[in-house]
Amino acid sequence: MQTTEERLRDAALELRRELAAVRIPESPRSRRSRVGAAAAAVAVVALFAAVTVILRATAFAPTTPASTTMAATSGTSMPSRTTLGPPAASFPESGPTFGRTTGIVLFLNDGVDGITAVDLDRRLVSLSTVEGRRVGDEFRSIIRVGDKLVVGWGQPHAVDLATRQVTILGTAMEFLPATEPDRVWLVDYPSRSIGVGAPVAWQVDMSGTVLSEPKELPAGIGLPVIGIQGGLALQTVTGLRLWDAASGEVTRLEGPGPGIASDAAGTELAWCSGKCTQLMVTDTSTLESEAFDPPQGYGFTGTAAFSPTTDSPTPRHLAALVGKEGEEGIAIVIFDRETDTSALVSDSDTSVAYLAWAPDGRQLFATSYSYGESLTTVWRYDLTDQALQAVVLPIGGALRPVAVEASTAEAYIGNRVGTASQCPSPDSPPSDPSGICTIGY
Amino acid sequence: MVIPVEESFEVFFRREYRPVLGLAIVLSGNRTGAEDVTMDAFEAALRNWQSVSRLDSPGAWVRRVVANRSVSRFRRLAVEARAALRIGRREDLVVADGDGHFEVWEAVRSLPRRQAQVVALFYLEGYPRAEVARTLGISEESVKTHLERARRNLDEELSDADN
Repeated sequence: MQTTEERLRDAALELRRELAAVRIPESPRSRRSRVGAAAAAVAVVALFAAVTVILRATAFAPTTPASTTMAATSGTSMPSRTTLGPPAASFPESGPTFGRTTGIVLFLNDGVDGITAVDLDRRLVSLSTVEGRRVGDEFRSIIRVGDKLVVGWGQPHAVDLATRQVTILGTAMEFLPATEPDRVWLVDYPSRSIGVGAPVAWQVDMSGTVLSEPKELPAGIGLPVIGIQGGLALQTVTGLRLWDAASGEVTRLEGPGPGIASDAAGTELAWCSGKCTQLMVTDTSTLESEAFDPPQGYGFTGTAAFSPTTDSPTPRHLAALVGKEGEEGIAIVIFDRETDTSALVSDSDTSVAYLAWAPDGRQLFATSYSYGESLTTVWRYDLTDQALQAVVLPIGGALRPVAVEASTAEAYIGNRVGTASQCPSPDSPPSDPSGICTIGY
Repeated sequence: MVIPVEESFEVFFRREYRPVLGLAIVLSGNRTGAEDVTMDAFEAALRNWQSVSRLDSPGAWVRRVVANRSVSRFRRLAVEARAALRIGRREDLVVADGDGHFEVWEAVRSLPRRQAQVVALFYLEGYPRAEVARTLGISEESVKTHLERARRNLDEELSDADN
């Protein structure tokens, strides 16, 4: 009987043997040279120059994407695992980051055990650990549910926004967002590996009170990824399945390839399948679907976000990320379901990774993926004047953001403003006595 | 002697392509997707070659890009692949090469992201802990911790699979 160590070494040896027989393809440089693009390909913009983009939204029917004044690309360096990078003067010398008050603090998942809170108006960045967060819990690790943040895996916690008071919600491998207010789903796997074995799911409120009896989903029907009204959406290799917790019934949403559940609100579920050539919004109570097409030449990535339902049970806007085949950039498209219009608000030169609506639904924020890097791009789209702005902040290590009203985020912004060297990386506990390390930028 | 940029990138690409592809295969479980991620990472390196080539280890840079992209991009599909296996849809999958060790890499992919990255670099690449730490931008102590936890988790996972 082989030990795990021996099995790993044997598996590595075998894979290395197989790799030795792999034909090395033509290098990217050779391919570019062949098409006469080598000179352009070699051009590298030096480390960050100022980037301030104001794009006017353009109706995208058959037109090209909005032009951009973005002047620099991210000169990716090899930083250590850090949160603080070189100065990136892409915002005004003083005053709010975006030149106007947003009223928003962005909570960026730091990918380790805390939150990087960015006060956009006061230009402060605060690092702090969050009780209940654990290394390795990046997948859906922070969501906002009412006046709480829900974090962690194994033992998900609710953290009060105003006081940071913590409530353990239960013991489960992961939590999933619910569409019902002030609730989440807890999903456990007896195997202790997400996706392995039959999951058991139940709903809890923010005090940890169990609201629905834990039920085992049929084994092998798919991977639960998001709550829908009264149940869960599960991803499969051919679309989605909808599991109704009360009846145990499973409904298929067939697709041409692996299903991706993007977002859910009320009775609606945004999803796509396969190459995501269309984004579907399905009413899970009636199974009626509405299809959204990407701008010409683009395809959906599978990331989409409904705007908050402030004055209607149905979200008015649906923001989605789109990309062009063979190109790295990711752009934002916004569908206005009330006016039946849409706008491509950035072009494919941008590299948006995440979307986060402000609670009032009038501002959309987007961020780049900067885990392991030292700079983060933040975009802000204002529905009122249809303007997109972008800034590059001297912080890294950022994953999915949550946009929180500044008035409720004070507990995450420290009182003492220090220097960059005083703020430790997320690998270490914060050194500030209050547990929050704050710097200005 | 100044090595022309173009030549050095070609040499770099030829030297690093296979091991970087192996890393992507282990972390994503999807050969076709791994090739895409690998090529994307080298294209990114090429675009930034003036700065990447000056790093102490351009190879570490490209591996970090692959490690991050492989996990984030394919995590859902990898988990879905496991689900598909359970329901007998093996034909839908293009899993990591080396069927004899399929379970081993499958178990590695079921680990938390950082543990999987550390295991892949340590065992497949044969990196010492310090090099794993440098590649992922974490401390050597963290690498040690992730390795220990990964081994414990893999012991459980693989013994369950055997049973």
